[in-house]
This record gives sequence, structure tokens and C-alpha cells, in this order.
Amino acid sequence: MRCAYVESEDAWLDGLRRGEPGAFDAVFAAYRKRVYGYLVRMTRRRDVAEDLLQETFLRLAQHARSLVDGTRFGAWLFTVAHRLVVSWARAQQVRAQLAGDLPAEPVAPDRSPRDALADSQAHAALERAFAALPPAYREVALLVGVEGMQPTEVAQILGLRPDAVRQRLARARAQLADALGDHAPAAWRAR
Amino acid sequence: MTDEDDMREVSRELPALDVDPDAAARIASAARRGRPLRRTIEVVLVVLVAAGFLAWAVMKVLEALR
Repeated sequence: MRCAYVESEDAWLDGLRRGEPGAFDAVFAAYRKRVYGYLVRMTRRRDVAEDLLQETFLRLAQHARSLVDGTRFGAWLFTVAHRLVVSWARAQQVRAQLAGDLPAEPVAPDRSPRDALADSQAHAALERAFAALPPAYREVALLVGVEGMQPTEVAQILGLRPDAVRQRLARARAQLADALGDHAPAAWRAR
Repeated sequence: MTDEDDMREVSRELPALDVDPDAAARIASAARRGRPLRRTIEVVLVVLVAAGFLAWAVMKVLEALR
């Protein structure tokens, strides 16, 4: 059943609108890692990322029949994931204010022992540098850098102007270059 | 190179993150099943209680203004 959905997003869209479980599974398989990676790096917590991943795909299942022609699943899923992260961050802020907590220190996402073993020093430095970016810059950096999206697409997802996205991207790059120091790519250091 | 190219270049070094297969199967299954009825009922009840309280508060304010 799944093979029928390997080729195109349009086929997934048709399948989802018809309520075919194979189409949902194909979209989940294609986007699970990408959305989860974004959620872990935005929330810095694997347990929260798993909950938000489930909520993101729950909403896809709920809205499956009303998806319009030409829907791009990447943009759709990241828009939902972004809104969930914003809501979660607001709830965290309120909780911290009520409890009188200090803001959490930026930390790298929790790592499984296997992931940790596989990490090189440079990878760990990079992960820390991303984690230390302000959330608004980190989000743009992840969507452009990891997801390979264009600033115009990111602007639609975040509800910003493309210029604002480019500005945040430039600032994120500058902060990453400072934070990475010797770990920054050679081309960056030359600029 | 543009900032976009720079960001893509450095991001290639970020390790891929994934949920473990059991959690992935659980999440997919839960998402496919949809929101449990109990949760939907909870949301409806909370909305009704909040709306009732709001209506009561507005009535009290109007009474006090008379």
C-alpha cells in the first residue's frame, strides 16, 4: 500500500483526503525526523518534542479532508509545529513567572547514549551554538539551514516579511560564527 | 556565499535527530486515531464553565452599575 505513495506529495494529498491510512503513514515517514529535529532544537526537550510531534500529526489527520490542492506538507507541518512551539513557550513563560523561576540556561538537547557516542567535539559545539541562539533566530536558522527552505517560504510559515527573515538569518549567522570560533567552517572564518 | 548558503553549509554538520521506533509507532498510531472523546468532552466542559462564569461576572457588573 505504501509504495503507491512514495512518489509524490499530490498522491499523498489525494490519499489523505480519501482517508487512506497508507497516505498518512507515508507523510509521517517522510516528515517525522524533520519535524522532530526542529521541535527538539526549539524546545530543547525530547519529551516535549514527542508530544508536539504527535499533536502536529494529529492536526494533519484532523484536517486531512479539508486540505486544498497544492498543499505542500513541509510548509503545512512546519507552520503547525511553529504555532505549537509558540504556545508551549508562552505556557512555559507563564509557569516560570508563577513559580518565580529563572529562565533556563541554553543547553543542548538531551542525547541518547548512542547519539552521544557518535557526537564529535565539533558536532557538540555546533549543537550548543544553535541552542544558544535566541529562539527567533534559531527558528529561522533551522528552517533555512536544516530544512533548506527559501526565506519567502519561511516568512509564510512564521508570519513575517521576507526581509525580516533575512535579517534574522544574518544575525543568526553572525552569532553562530562568534560562538563557533575555531569550529566555524573555514569559509566563514575567511569572510 | 550568501547567509542562506552559509547556514545550509554549517547545518549539514548537525546530527539528524529521530524518535526511537517504538515511540514513532505510538505517536503515529495516536495521531491516526485522533483526539480521544474524553479529551474533547473535557475541552467542551471547560469552555462551558468559562463562558458561564464570564456571563455571571458580566451580569454582576451590570447589576452593580444599575
